[in-house]
Amino acid sequence: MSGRDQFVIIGASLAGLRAAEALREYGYDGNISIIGAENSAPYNRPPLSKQLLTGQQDFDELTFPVAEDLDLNWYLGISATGLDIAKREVKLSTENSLRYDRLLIATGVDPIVPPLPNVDLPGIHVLRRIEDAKQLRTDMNAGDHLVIVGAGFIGCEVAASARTLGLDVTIIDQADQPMARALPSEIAQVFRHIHEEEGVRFRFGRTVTGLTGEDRVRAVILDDGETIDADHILIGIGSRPTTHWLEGSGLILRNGVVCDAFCRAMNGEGRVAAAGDVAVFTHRGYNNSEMRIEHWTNAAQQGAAAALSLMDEHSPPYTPLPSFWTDQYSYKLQSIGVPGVATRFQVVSGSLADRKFLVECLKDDELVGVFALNMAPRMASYRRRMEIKMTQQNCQRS
Amino acid sequence: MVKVKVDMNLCEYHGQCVFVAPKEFQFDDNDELVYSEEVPEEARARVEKAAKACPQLAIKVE
Repeated sequence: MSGRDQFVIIGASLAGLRAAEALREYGYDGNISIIGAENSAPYNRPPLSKQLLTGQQDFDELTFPVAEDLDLNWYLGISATGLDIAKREVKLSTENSLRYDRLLIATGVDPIVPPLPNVDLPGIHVLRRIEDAKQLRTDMNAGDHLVIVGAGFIGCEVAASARTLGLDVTIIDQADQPMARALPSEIAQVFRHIHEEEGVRFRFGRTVTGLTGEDRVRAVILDDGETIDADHILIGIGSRPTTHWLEGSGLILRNGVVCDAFCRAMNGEGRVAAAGDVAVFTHRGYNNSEMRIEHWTNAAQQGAAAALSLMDEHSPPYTPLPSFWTDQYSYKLQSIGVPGVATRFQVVSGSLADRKFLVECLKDDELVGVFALNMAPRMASYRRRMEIKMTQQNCQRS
Repeated sequence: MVKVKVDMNLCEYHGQCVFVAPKEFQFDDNDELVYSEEVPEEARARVEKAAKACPQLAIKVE
């Protein structure tokens, strides 16, 4: 065992890579080990539902560039299976253990698969990993009708990609509009109409009660009795933080790894932090509310912030401005802030009817979020404004 | 000087670079991305940060 300090990162992901880069930039000269359950080096996930399916980008274009002087030890195709905080050891699927001085958990999320009979039939897909995307892309080239269970971002983005490729698409969701959890009704309706004009069929207010087929899935059965023939099915009903390997470790798990305002895991003895989709943290900029943010920008920022929190006890609290985007057909919807708490919305540029707009989300006249549809240039200045406000609020608080 | 190149076939106008490095990347009046193809060495850290913030990996810095 070498005497060098050991920094272990679980998750060969965007968050994990940005953490390693931040550590070297900070001047950390210990060993950095990155453990990744997938066989691939860190790659960019957003294109999996879009450019990769439509063939505009290929798999090898998704790998993040990694500077050689980072000097990282990679353990790919290996997953963490347990954590012993007292011994400071991570157990690996190889039966070996890895000792750490500091540990970053960035294991992300796993897609939820409903407990339906036949759900493991060939032709039924989820979409999270590059291997999922490869299978879905191959499959989509060989059939006509794609049924998508779940009208969330993944479902809607894959629907758009599939229509672009000329497949028939039906989306089933128990809500009454697409992306219902993330978008206000007026904006969700815009997307509903876009998809319908593009030829997507919706079954809203419905759940799947059965899947049929023998060697391969043939149809889905809905709760109202309708049977829809399907060549392939994508299940996109949400995801669950990948924390099963941490059960019994003593860390607090509540829909993710619960952390303080500095991304340090509760009960981790100050040596464990979490970042990205798996991390639940206290956001000082939003009245200490607990947040878990499953979006690209957060993964990148939080990876770096969480790693540095373990190095320096005077690190600032992590107070990101939440943001996300979705691309469907020729439409790019962007969001910043917390539009979910807004009490009213006002269109400040463009219009919903024109499908090009900027919408301010207000709570008691305070700007809490912004939506932009095909108005990316205007978002940069809003983002700056809201980031500055967030920083000022935190300075006042500390 | 540091060379900066944006692959406009990949760029999707997320505007992350404009946010991170507003001196080097801007949107013009026609909403097109304009950027400095050569920046001084002291701006290197900023344009590298912009490259890492790009969700499309469209920015190359040499």
